[in-house]
Amino acid sequence: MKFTFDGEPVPFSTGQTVAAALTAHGISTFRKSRRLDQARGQFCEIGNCWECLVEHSDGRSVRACRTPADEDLVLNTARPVRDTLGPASLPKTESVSATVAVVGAGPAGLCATKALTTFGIEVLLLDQESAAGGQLYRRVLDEAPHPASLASDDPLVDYRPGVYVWAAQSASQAHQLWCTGDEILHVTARYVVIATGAQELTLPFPGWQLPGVTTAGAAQVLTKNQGVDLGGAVMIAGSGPFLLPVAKTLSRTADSSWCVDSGSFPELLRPGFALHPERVLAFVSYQSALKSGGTSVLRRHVVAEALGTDHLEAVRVAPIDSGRPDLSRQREIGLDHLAISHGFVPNLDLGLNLDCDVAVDSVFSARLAADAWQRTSVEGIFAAGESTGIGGGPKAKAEGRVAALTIAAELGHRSNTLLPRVRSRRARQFARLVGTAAKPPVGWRDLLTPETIICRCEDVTYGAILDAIALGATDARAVKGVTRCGMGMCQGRTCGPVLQALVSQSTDEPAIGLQRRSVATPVTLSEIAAIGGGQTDA
Amino acid sequence: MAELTTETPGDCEIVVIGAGIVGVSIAAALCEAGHDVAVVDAGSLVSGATAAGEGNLMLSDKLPGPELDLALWSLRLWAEQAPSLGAAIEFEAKGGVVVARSDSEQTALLKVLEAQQTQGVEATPVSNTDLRELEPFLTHDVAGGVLYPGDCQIQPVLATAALLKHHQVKLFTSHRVTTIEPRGDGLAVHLGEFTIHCDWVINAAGAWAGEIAAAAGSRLDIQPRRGRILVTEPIGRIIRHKVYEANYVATTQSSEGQAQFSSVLEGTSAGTVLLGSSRELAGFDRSVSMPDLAALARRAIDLFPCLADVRIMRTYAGFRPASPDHLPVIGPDPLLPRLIHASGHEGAGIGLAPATAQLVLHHIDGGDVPLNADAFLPARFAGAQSS
Repeated sequence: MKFTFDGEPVPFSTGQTVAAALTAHGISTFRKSRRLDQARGQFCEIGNCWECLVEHSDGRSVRACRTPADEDLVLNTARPVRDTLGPASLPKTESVSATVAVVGAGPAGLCATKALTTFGIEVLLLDQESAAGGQLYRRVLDEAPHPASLASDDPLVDYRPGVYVWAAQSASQAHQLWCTGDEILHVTARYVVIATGAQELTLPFPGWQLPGVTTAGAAQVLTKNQGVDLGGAVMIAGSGPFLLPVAKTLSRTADSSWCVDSGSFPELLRPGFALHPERVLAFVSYQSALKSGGTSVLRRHVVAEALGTDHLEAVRVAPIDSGRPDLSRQREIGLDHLAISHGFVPNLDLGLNLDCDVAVDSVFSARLAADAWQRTSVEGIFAAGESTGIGGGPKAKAEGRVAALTIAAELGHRSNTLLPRVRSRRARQFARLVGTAAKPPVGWRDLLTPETIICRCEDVTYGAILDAIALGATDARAVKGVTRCGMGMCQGRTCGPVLQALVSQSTDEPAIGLQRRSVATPVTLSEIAAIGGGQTDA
Repeated sequence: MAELTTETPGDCEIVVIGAGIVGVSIAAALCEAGHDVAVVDAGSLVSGATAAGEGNLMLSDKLPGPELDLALWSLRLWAEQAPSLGAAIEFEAKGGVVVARSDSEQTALLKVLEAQQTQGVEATPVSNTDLRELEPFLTHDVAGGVLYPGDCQIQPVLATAALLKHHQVKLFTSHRVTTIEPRGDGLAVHLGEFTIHCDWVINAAGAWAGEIAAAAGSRLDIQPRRGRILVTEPIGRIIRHKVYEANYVATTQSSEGQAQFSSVLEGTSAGTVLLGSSRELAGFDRSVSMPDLAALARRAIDLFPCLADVRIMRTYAGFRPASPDHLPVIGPDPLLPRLIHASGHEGAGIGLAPATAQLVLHHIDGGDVPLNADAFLPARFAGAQSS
């Protein structure tokens, strides 16, 4: 099976995305950047970063990672701006009423859904992915879905895959959600469970925008789920425990593999970890897998620069000395693929649009505030999983269950939340331990040069941001206005936390500046026009 | 380059309150005239209406009267200063097109046009066919329109930044004015723990100008008139002029509190299209209204059907500073003559900023201005206030 890209046939296997098929075929440039005309390719692979835009034959630009490969597809390198416009059509909106709407079908959302249905409570399950499971239980090509990911064929569950909540408003007993994607929905729900997960945090450095540099999650999805062998010389770099499973996955197909850790894995093992022996075991087994898999591990090092013209060719790595990179001692390593990760940040869109309070512990850790019963500050709105703070699968599952049991109790069912509350507290405790141990290195800013790209969508450099701050743009919103940082297609998803960290020295505003999005994902004008039945106003 | 001053604000000759385009234009004009000026703002640079609107430099929407004189002067000043501020401000003399959807609207447009022409505005009536040549993607369902070659556009945030930089204006952000009081011959401006002693204070706080007047123990009736805008993904230049519906002028002059809508569309250098506009008196409420967004979207599609399929990236809500008679308020406070107000521009502050700056300079230094400055004095409301 083949589709066409820039006139060339590109083979693909069933279930592959356009992005994966292009990568497997050796094509890494998907588009040219808007201002600097640089080659850009896929970066996040899960629909967040909009770097992988390609142009559809009808003139629309689409994300290659969100587009299933298909024989009829004719695609091209995306041009900086779109100048052909499609036909006008007023889309059909379906109105759906639900007692409980669960948003996100990852571990938290699935556990909440399952627990609710045991009480006979009907659930509307909305998910942006085409298959349930979230990022943790992501489906492998055309294999059967992961057992944990099954959104049951329970008649109590109205499962809607492929939809994204782009707008939401809270109102007592009747919260409103507007969804776009495979279906256009207007949802009214008495309860909402926010289980929207997290996205990867990637800190910039010179050359990180080159094709061939992706997030760790993207490398994981490509090799594990999309059947792409990232062969040649492959490196994973950054900080945090997520480096380990990805390093293990990458070492399977790579000819040579590197793992560059800017923190220090041994420091992850702190006294408090004795209370979590199963996690310590997992950690140790990953370590030994790396060793036996032949991965070269560089501790207390960072990738200081990625080199190449239209594709990654090499990186310069530097040791970290007293928490800061020592750029005088760099060495070059030839590479075909670099995966980067600095941990995760909660996805706050839905919670912010529903006016839920946010807790900010440090600059990269804004999260939805929830009590021990997973209740947010807004009546009837619950949050579970990564959106309330990064903690992985066990925390998400336990919190999803707590949210469900609390809702069941409010609806008059007899339910006991004690056990899952104990579990979720334990999981949160562990998450806090990891959170304190796996901070991005203090000196990440030392790597930035005036030419380093911060906003990939709009080609905004570090120098431009410093100029704006010096001029008096002292909060993220003002810097955005002066520089366009965060104004691109990803709506500041990639650069937002970074910009926030850059301005946080000159302002004490809460660290959510760019994360408040009245339009949570780009949506067509006609969908907005269709709100309220599309009647013309007086 | 302008310095972000980390030192505390010190005494100076003139304090300008508000780091929007009006405040920064005033500060720039005062600096150029040799005055020692500091700008203070409760938020950051451009945290008010400057960053929430379109970059309108318009004559077409001004009815004959003092505001049209101010706009004619101000647009001349913009054209003069634009080259020195560089290409970054995205100044474009693109012209404006007003679209009439019915014959009666066209008749009304022509009547306005005639009156504007006697005051010196250049404009040409255009037929349905001409319109399609000017705007190839415009709906065919139009009666006619008027082309105003004098209407221009800038990027207001970048223009403010460029003015600040070019004139090396001193700016103190995150400083909220608590009180202003007479001290000797001048004024004392209290900013929380700091106090600045100065000769003059300029109130360019936009929709918050009433609060500043109150902090000085005076009164200024400025209401926030909320507006919303939808912003598209970057697309090619499919909208070539500033295009708006004939009912727009009526809504700018209306004092109706309920939401009113009128399409104003603007293609920008960045490729995005800004889709406005709404007007509503609803206090300082930034929350999103889905019916309002839908109304803006329907009207935009109605005018440019090809936009239906274009993606919207974000929306803004902003607060226009509205005076009771829709005219700017520029001049000394009747109770505290060393406090000069410069607000009430409603949706026209971007265009009117340079002339407003010259009027403020006139009230401080004297000198001639090419219009009747009295029309904008705050004192015009004094009678109403005392009753």
